[in-house]
Amino acid sequence: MAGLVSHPVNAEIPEPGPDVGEQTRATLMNFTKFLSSQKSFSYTAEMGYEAVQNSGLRIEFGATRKVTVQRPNRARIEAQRRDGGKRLVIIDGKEISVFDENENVYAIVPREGTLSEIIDYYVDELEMPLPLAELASDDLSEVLTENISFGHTIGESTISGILCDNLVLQNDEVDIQLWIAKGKKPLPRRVVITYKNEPGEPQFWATFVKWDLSPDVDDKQFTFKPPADANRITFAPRLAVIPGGAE
Amino acid sequence: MIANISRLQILTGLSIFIMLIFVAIDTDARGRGGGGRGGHSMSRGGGHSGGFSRSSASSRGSMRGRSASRPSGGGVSRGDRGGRDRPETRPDRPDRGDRGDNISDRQNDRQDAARDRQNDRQDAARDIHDDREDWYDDRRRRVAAAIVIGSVISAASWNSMSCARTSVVVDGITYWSCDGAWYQSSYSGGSVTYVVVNAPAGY
Repeated sequence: MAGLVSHPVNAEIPEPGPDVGEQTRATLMNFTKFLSSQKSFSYTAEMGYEAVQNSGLRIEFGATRKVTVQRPNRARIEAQRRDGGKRLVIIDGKEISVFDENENVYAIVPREGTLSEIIDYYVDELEMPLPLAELASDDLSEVLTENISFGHTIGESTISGILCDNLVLQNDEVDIQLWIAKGKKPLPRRVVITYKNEPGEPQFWATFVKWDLSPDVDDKQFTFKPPADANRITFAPRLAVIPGGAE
Repeated sequence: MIANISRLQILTGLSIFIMLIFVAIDTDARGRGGGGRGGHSMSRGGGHSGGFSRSSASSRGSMRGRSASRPSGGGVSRGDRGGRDRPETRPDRPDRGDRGDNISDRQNDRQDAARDRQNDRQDAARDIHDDREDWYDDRRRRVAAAIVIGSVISAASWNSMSCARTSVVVDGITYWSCDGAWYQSSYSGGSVTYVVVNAPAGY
């Protein structure tokens, strides 16, 4: 998190409003159109987030995630947390499987639909984390355009040797900084998200280490075979057990 | 029908109980990036003192904000659970046939109407329940078979327990025994958690 300050966006840009500049809009559309047109893709990203303690102390946790997507409805996510925890999530279009290697437990739940629907279910209903899941969604463009009240291009910025456009996006809940590579492969190289309505305004960030637009999408990549000695458990998101009432 | 009511009420009661337990403790598990393993980690671990919380809305990494939910009308909402089909048709109502004017028929009508209303209510209750918990059936079956009698603990706390553990698999789900107590495990709030339950059938 070195080099980041708490409110870098507000210091640099005008007051927010329902305004997204043409250059910013074009960069976003270029990026979302390009990624959405990929029948399969894979990326590896270093991710971190701040957990603001009650005392105000900020602590960063994080993980490395490799995400492989094959449209329309398959995905594989391998996560390794910094403390050693490993999790595998496989979406095969029919089921969602989650395996925690350290605990040697797994859960499987049937779920069909588009990748967006399945991801929504996983994140919203099962309350399982899937950072930057929007990148695999069918409506990435909506997320980055329709839900944004303000967008601006700060300028060019180099991330890990790759020249990018540095964008800032804003709505009522989040400030997003995006670095989109310039050139023929307009893919994100870094993202920083600030959750403004949360205590301490914690940030999430990701730096994309690698993008692969021809990943291995063999069936075995999307087939979950639990170890013989693994224990099957279930999903029990607490909000889902509220009986009977409106959500 | 009575059996259905009882089952629904029991499950509802259990759900409330479980919810309260989940809300009351192990709050640090919420939003965590994965199953905590504790040890050297800074996870607080289900109420253990002295550590730091990994919990943060930012851990979810959503570009939409805290929740990844779409705005209403924009794609899949919480209420739209496509792909999990449930028969929409209700059971056929009894054919009332020819109704005479005699008292017996009117009484039958009233009983039919009452039965219909009761069926409607039960159908509605079942609909809500089914919609909410179809995907939750595994858990429900487990809970129905094994009453939750204790608190939910994090994987970190579980791993720090020194008791000798044995496990059995009942109906596809693993139960652990630890110092005479029985536990089941679930993904809750994004993390692996363990909950004290009563002994599985046959143990």
